[in-house]
Amino acid sequence: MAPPPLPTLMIVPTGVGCRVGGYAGDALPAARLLAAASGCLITHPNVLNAAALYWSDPRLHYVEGWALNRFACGELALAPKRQQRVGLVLDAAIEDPLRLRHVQVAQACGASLGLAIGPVVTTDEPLGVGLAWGRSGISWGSLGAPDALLRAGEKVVEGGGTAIAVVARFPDDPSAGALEAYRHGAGVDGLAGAEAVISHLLSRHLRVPCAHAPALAALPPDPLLDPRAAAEELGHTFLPCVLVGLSRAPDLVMPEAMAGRGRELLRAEQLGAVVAPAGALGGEAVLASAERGVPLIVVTSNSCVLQVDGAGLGLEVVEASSYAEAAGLVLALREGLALETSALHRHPPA
Amino acid sequence: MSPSLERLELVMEPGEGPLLAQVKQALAERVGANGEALRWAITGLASPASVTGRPRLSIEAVVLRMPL
Repeated sequence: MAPPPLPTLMIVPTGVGCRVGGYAGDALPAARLLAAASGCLITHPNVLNAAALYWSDPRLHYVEGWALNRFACGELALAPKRQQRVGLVLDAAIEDPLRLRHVQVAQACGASLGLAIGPVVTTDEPLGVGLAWGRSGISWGSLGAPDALLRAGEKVVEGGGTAIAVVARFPDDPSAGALEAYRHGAGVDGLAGAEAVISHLLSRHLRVPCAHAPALAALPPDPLLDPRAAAEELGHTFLPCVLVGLSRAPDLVMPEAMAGRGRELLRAEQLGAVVAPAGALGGEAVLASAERGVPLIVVTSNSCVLQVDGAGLGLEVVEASSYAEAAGLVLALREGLALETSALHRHPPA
Repeated sequence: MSPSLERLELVMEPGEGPLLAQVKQALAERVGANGEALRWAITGLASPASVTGRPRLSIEAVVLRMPL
């Protein structure tokens, strides 16, 4: 008999150049394994979104970063849901042919996957996405017209949408060399930081599941394209994975709505493990969980441009050399095994 | 007045005890009453300078600035 699920949080911070998960949904295999090991994996769109590719699994819970942080801090709970109606916000800056491609993705997800889609709302002015790089080398970004995004999101909710997919027009070449490095598997995703800001802003304002897909002109084929980035070059848009992910995203339940819903809700105090890259532990969800005593499993092989590790932050961590080893540790926790048990380690203590 | 977004970088020397509350406090003080750190992360650790021996923290954030 399988033990009960061990709710587990998987974090791969967006825009920090992780070797696994820093590209186009390339942490998805690791997420699938961790979902199987834990029986319940809560993770964010950066892990699961692979543009035209996606994987739907009831053990995977798709939660945008702002909401994930609030969840980890115990400020909201998650209510798994069979179906969301996914409304679509389109940036007014998207050119007509590209806009049509996105509308047709939404129509196809309705016709071919049976998803509930709509309404579709266009912002009343261009969002003005700007890209930037932090001193540390991570990507950040901003919006010229955040209020236009919020107004469009409000219209989606008023029109019956219970989750929101946003498509903003992004600059086609963020900086000379950066895009090429990313496509060749050696750079930081220059779009990711701005994407996170967009979805954080909307989640914070409306308290509904949100995720973002950038609208970009097609790139010329590149024979040196890294397989981890290739999912973004299969189609005309990055939207299918977002619509599929949101279609089964859990509801965000604020404290005032939690009464009487005990058994159907996922809460931070149920978390049994957190899995994160060893050098990217400086985010809110990881810190909140670790300070609550949730075992923190750090994957040492998933390096990134940051070196914010457990030793520097004073956090107790359990090291795993790979996601396969991390999944084994999660399974051990789920089975009630003590992680220090010598038989579990490659080199048992003498 | 519409809301706006701005970037913020700061360095803090943490004291004893849990970090998260200290980071949030430092951000709130720096951002002020009419803003909120929408997205933030500790992005660097520097050699310790304080009596606690803990590293200095570099923090990068995007601040949502709202009209009062």
